[in-house]
Amino acid sequence: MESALQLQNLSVGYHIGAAAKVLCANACAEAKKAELVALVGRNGRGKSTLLRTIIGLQKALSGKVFIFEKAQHSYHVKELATLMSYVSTDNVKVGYLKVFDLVSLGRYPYTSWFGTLSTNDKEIVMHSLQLVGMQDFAERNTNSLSDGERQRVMIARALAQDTPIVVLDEPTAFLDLPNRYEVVFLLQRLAREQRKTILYSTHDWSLAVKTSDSMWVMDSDSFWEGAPADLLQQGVFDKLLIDTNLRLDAKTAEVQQK
Amino acid sequence: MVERKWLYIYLVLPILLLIFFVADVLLGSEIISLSRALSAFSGEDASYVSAILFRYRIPKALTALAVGVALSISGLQMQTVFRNPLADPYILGVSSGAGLGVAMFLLTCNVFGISILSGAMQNLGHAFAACIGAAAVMLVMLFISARLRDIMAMLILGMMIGSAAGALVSLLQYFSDAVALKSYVMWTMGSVGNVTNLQLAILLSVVLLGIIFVIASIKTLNVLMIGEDYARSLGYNVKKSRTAIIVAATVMTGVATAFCGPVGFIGVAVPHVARMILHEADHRYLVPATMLLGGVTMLFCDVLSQLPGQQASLPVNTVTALLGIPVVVLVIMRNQKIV
Repeated sequence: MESALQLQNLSVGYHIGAAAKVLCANACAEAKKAELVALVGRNGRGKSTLLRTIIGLQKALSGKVFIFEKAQHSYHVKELATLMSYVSTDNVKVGYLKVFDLVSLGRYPYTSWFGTLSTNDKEIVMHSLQLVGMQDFAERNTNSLSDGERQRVMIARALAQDTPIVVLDEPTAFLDLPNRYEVVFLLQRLAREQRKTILYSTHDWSLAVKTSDSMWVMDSDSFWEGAPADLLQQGVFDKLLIDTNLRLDAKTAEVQQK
Repeated sequence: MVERKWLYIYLVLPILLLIFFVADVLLGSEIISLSRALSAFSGEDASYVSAILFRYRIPKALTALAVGVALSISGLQMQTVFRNPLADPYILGVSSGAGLGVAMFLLTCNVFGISILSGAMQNLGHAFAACIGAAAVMLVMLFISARLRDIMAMLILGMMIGSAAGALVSLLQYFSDAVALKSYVMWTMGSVGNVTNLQLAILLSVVLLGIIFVIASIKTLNVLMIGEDYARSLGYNVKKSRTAIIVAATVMTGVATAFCGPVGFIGVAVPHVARMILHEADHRYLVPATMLLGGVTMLFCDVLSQLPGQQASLPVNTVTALLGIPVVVLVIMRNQKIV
């Protein structure tokens, strides 16, 4: 299977003055076409930083990100915008912004200087809304949406960007239980049916183990990647829980007390 | 059928603009009838009426129009770039910064024994000083906004910067002579009626360039509306476009403030009224509507401040404040979901 995304000895973090604060060192991983990949790790381990580095919002401290076997930094930003789309944790709140208009921003890499949408662009926007089940909300004001609805609209915006890779930072963070499951199943469906490579970070390990094709696990000094079942067997998740009296059951992937 | 939004932009607002422009030209301490004005235009009437019209009223109305456009467009740009519904040159202290620049220019020229430069140099110096002051504050706000997402905290900081600039101005006033002091105090009252032809020419060219720039950056503004990370992931060079937009807003605010004094609340209120009328956030509609409505509003405020038929007149920034503050209150209440 074709490799969509590859990390090669990637170290991410940020600079405080001259010193570098390394959050994740020498990560090696790969995501293939049409794969759903979940990124997990404890808080403050740099999940967001890793995703931001992959997307190109910040520079890697060392190592490389490859997008379709070409180094990420050798792409022009405009070119990257047609390969990767992003859904951040940022809660977009703009008065009078209609759902259709928000999603149509995803078409901007393809439109003219004035941003006029062609018939084809409009069809893609409506199709993206259909894929997330929000087609009846097109004319609604974004401020009137619930958290679950807003998250789906933000995913539709990324889909409208029509990129083979979609990166999402904690898409289920502010959602209630049914919405959490629905969003993850939606991502799974998009990977399978739309053949997209989807990388998302989450705190819901059990759900991720059950739904992902592959998982990336981050700790302060280690990075694992693999099929969820293998990682579970190797007890990788328990290593993240070492300072707690919790563990992940190797069969059911549910959190239990030791 | 033409969309309601385009009806506003192509028909309703331009007509309103024309009406208020004519009203601003005709109404003042001396009320001029439309027929007299027309005969002055055709050259039949060469009395004092044509002198009032051409030397005073028309430049004043053009100034009001330009200032209204400049401030409301700057407000819209700042609201989008800072992602803060209450951002505006006045509230974020940019006008105060321009005021400090003007005060330094007007007051220190004398301290150093330099007689105030004359003509073009003085006008340009005045505008330049205001732009420098405005840019200094804008830089501080940019620096802070990158680290601070809290809308209210930013507004409080804007107030603090405004107060600091005010304190520095007081200090300057304390050491300056009566003549310079008077010209500064007159400036703070705000007026669109005291600009020279040269100042008007500078103002109009800056606003024209500003309009062209803003229209060219409509798409960028739409992307920045949902945040810089998204803008970047959509292939935009955020740093460059953000800086360009801020510079445009700063220069427009700086020049308008330099020649007409600190005029508040137009920048914050007009874009919101445009949003409310159009039910739109898309800058393809908001930019033209905000420009037109800004011109209409400033002309309307100028008509009111002239107290038609009376000898006295009000400082124009008291009128803009009284009209603009209710809109700001409404926006705050909506933000808190009170209304």
